[in-house]
Amino acid sequence: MASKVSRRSFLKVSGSVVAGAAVAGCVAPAAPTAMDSAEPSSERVALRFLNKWGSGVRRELMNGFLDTWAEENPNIGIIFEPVADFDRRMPILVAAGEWGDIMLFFDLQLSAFHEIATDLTPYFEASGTPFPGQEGSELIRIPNHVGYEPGKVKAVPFQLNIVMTGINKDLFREAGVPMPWEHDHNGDKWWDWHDYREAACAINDLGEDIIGSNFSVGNIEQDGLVNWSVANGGQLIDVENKKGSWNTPEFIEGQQFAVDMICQDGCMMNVDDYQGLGQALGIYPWAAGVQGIASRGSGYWVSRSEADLTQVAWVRSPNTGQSAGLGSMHFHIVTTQSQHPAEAFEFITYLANFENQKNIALSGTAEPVNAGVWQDTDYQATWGSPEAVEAYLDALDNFIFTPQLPGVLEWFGEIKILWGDVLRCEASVEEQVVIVDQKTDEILAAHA
Amino acid sequence: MQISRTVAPNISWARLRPHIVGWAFISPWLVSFSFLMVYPFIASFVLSFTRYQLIGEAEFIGFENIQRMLFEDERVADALRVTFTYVLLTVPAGTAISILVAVLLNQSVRGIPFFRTSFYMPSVIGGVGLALLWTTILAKNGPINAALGLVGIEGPNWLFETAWALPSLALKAIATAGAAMLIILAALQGVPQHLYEAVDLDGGGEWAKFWHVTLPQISPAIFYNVIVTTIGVMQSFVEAFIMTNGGPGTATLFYGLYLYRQAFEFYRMGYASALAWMMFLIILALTIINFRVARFWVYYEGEE
Repeated sequence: MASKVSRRSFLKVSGSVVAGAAVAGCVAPAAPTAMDSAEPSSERVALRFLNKWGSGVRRELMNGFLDTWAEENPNIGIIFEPVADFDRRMPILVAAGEWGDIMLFFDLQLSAFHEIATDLTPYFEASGTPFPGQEGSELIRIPNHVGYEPGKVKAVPFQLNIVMTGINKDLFREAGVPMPWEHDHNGDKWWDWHDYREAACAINDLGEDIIGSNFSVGNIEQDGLVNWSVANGGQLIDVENKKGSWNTPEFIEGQQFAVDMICQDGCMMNVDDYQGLGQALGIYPWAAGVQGIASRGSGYWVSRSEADLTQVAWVRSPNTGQSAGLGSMHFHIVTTQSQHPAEAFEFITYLANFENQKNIALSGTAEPVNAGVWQDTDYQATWGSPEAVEAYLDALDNFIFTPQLPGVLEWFGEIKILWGDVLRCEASVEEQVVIVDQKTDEILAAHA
Repeated sequence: MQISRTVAPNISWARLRPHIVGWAFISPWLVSFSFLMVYPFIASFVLSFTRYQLIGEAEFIGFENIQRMLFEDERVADALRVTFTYVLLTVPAGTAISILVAVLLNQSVRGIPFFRTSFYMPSVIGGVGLALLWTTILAKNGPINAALGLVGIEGPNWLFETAWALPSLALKAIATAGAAMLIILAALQGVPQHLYEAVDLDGGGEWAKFWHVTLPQISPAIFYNVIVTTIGVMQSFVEAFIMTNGGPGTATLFYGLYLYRQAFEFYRMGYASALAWMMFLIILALTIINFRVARFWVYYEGEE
């Protein structure tokens, strides 16, 4: 039977609830206390895990990792919280103090937020694991100043993205051009950028709805573009002197080659045109390079499964013979809020182990951060040819990280605008590099 | 038995009770207003004098952000130029079209509820959904270019060509001005019929009725729309964020988008706060100007 509540009682209760809610909202969460021990506890714990792999193939992979973990580690529960729109939402979660135990960041984010990352050095030492990239470690090198300071590690790598070239083999065959590994440059069968241009223009001529080449419009739009210069010996930023470094013969030559493909040959689409068309056709050009339009599928990895697409290493600069360009990395950190850092460390190193990273690599969703996977014959078998394997390994050994300097995020934002004029064929490379360098100096000085 | 709860000689419980009840009822709003409006308002003002990067302590830097914003950051000028151009493209045209559509929808013709619903419908759809829809409509291979192709015109890549990107966003804003149309339609239906009869008696035609009766009578509604639309357009964000990301170059770099980038892409919360305050002051100034100018063209019943 429903009991009658007097108005006074109702007001008392509602007043108390409102006051209680207000007070609860103001009270800061209890300060976390990191455990003194670097050894995992034997008691059952639950860890909040914030990561972006929440849909599609990546979600399936993550579910598999979590299932295996749960079977093998019944005492360490993982509460997986996929973060959609990761690049934008992670900073908001950081600002809101919603850190959980484990967070995923890309390198430039971590550079900005490293203060919330627990120093993992004691956990590496306690487990007898060498630091990433050091002798005996199965993990590849990680950039300085991010998760890695001299004598200190604050992050464990999870996912690598180095600029690659996705090629549509169907269109290569249709255009009658050699595959990237079918050339001959004094015994080196890997293609160089002249071969790239030839292939792109031949594919372009196949029809109006086929675009020979585009470049990356991923997180950092110019990844694909600056790669021409980086592989040619140019520097993205003079990190040592914290100054602009685009006004050099190496950098200009690489840019001029790419811009000529856009503005003179019409065999490569500038970023704006490609965006308009790409959205119309549902293309998501994660990987850069010659990627004939596959009208099926909406993402690179989806296209890969539906068309005869292959991801190969970047083209070589004919001047340096290098096919390595830029690389960016995603890391897991254990937040300073975590009360179970040892267990969290155990989990994030598990995600970077050989088996899991091999599954990631074979799925085509990212490059592995486990060096052993690069040597794995199953993985190498997906690369097309021995020459492609060689170029891939060369790219891995020699890729450079995006400079981890304060202000680089703002710098990228500004470069996109400044270099856009060149890509739209409205400014010359030689004039614009001077402006870019001036702007670089200004931004880096402001953040110094 | 009645218990007297005298708190002080002249303040009885009976006198206090209505006040307490009143405060208790508005307390949910009051709490949320205080914490979600007043607190951020004050906090952003304080932050605008600091360097604050989301974590750690905010560092007081005096007027450095303001100096940078006013004299050093050329993108602020770009963003203001784009935003003011957008206001000029959308507010007058949007107002004129919403008046025109409202006048048409005020006619007694068969099926008028259908037309009213059709024109208002876009206003009901959420901002992001509408932006995505228009991205498809304005795509290089979208329906607009397909229609132009039928008459032999090769349409541009609307959203990704410098010359067309901002007008394309303006077109989208104007075409979805259903809310303004609805307000003007309501005002039109409140225009007294005897005023039209007076024009008839004076021998005036339809144009005279519109110019001398309709427009003055609905001018408060038009004024309201101009104020609200100007404020809304000055704060535009979603269109550029979803459809163009501010590009090509700075062609659609709205002030709101630039502010967002500073805050959540470059993590400069202090500077973003300073930008937000400048936007607030600009909108305040525009609103004051609008009110001053309104004396010359807005007619209120009972005025001389």
